[in-house]
Amino acid sequence: MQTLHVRSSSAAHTAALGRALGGLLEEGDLVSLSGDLGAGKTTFVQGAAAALSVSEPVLSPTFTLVRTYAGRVPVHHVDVYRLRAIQDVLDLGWDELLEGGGVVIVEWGDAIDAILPASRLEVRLTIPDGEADAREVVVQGLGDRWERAWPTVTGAVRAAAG
Amino acid sequence: MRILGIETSCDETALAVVDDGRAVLANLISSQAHLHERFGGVVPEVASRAHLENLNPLLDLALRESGTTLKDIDAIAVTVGPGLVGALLVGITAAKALAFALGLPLIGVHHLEGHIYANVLAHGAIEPPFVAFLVSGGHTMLVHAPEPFRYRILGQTLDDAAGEAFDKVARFLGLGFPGGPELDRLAMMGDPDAIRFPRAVTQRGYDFSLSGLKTAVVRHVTAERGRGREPALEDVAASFQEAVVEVQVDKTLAAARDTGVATIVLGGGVVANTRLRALMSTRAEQAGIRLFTPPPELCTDNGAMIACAGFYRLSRGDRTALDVGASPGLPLG
Repeated sequence: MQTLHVRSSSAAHTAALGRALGGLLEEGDLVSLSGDLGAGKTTFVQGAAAALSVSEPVLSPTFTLVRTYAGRVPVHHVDVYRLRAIQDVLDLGWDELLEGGGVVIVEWGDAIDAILPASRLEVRLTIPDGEADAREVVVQGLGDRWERAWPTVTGAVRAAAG
Repeated sequence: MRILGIETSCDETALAVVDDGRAVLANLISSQAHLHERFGGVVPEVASRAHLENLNPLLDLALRESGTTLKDIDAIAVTVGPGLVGALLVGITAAKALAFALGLPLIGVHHLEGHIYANVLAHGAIEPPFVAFLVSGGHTMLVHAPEPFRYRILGQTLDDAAGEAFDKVARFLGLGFPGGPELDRLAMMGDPDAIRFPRAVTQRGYDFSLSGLKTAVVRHVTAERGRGREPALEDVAASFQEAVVEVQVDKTLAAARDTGVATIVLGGGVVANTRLRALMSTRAEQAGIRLFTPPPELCTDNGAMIACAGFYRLSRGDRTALDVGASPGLPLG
């Protein structure tokens, strides 16, 4: 597992990180996103979607659980915030989503660790105590796919910070 | 004409029997308190499995409560989108099976058109042109209806739906989830002018954006706590709610003015919010605009509004083929 710590200075910076990582995503990739309310998950996904050539507004999937966008590959934006049990996630057609091609971005993915694929990118956003704008961002790559791509990931994240 | 209305687009399994688009003989929702025992208290549910388990007992109950047998039903109306595909399919499959087995017409209804027709159930037919503001956990949309069954979307949310923002801020304030109604109650005790949260005025005229406002609430509370002060949560709730509602009312009134209509129709679960109802009512009256608002029990997702919209569509000759599928992203129009 590879780990990268970055400090985002603003919402614009978080969006830039989303764009940087979104630009690296390929069919079959999964990104698990976690972070408290207001940490910047929406902002991050909007950035990633833009890099995946999604032209429509990226709406919150909390209520509908899954929203699919036509980007350069299909982008499935999933939110498991309201689901109570792993079985509920499976009932969503989870396996079909994972195997159907395209990119899957899961919000609150840390809650369903057990059924996440072994190969994935994890992004954790946290609000440092007493700070309004800054965010701690931890990016982790799991599995061979990300092990191989790690130099590229590191480069893209650094460039976004610049 | 007696219509069975079926709605399973999201959390609620809902069934209703409605006569002539007006008389509600039964209107059952799986999360209703008196059904909890029957359903073991595990509602509302989002998974299609739950809809499947709820549907048949709910149908029996709806028929019994309305003093109806399947032989008395004249048509089946069902929500075909938008919504969660698996959830929609359960209702659609049941509706198709019933329509086929009973030899009845099937009519597919757009979920948001249903929310508009909740007003017709409560107040009788509403003549277009009008502007509808549809606001719920999954939708925030301003629609212009120039004539019956024609809709033009003026604007919608670019990130979070209003109901969702209410629920998430409620959860952040420790009011549980979904806590929109709790936030409404807490806000009644607070000062809406205590904190000046940003009004989410987006670049495009009628679109809405709430993600930034949600973050502003988190920032405010976090910053206060960082200074060793505990903010008055009722003031935070009231100020947040005011920022949301003010923009909604401003844009709805502007939409009515710009399209030259004299009628505004509200629909969706968030219409149960007391501040939205009050401010919209005051401002519509000042502008000389007629305002239609469904009673709170018809604001949430329900089968009666689907049966009602289905009745009006059937009356003008619409029919839906039995091979209809679920349309998770069905546009209104």
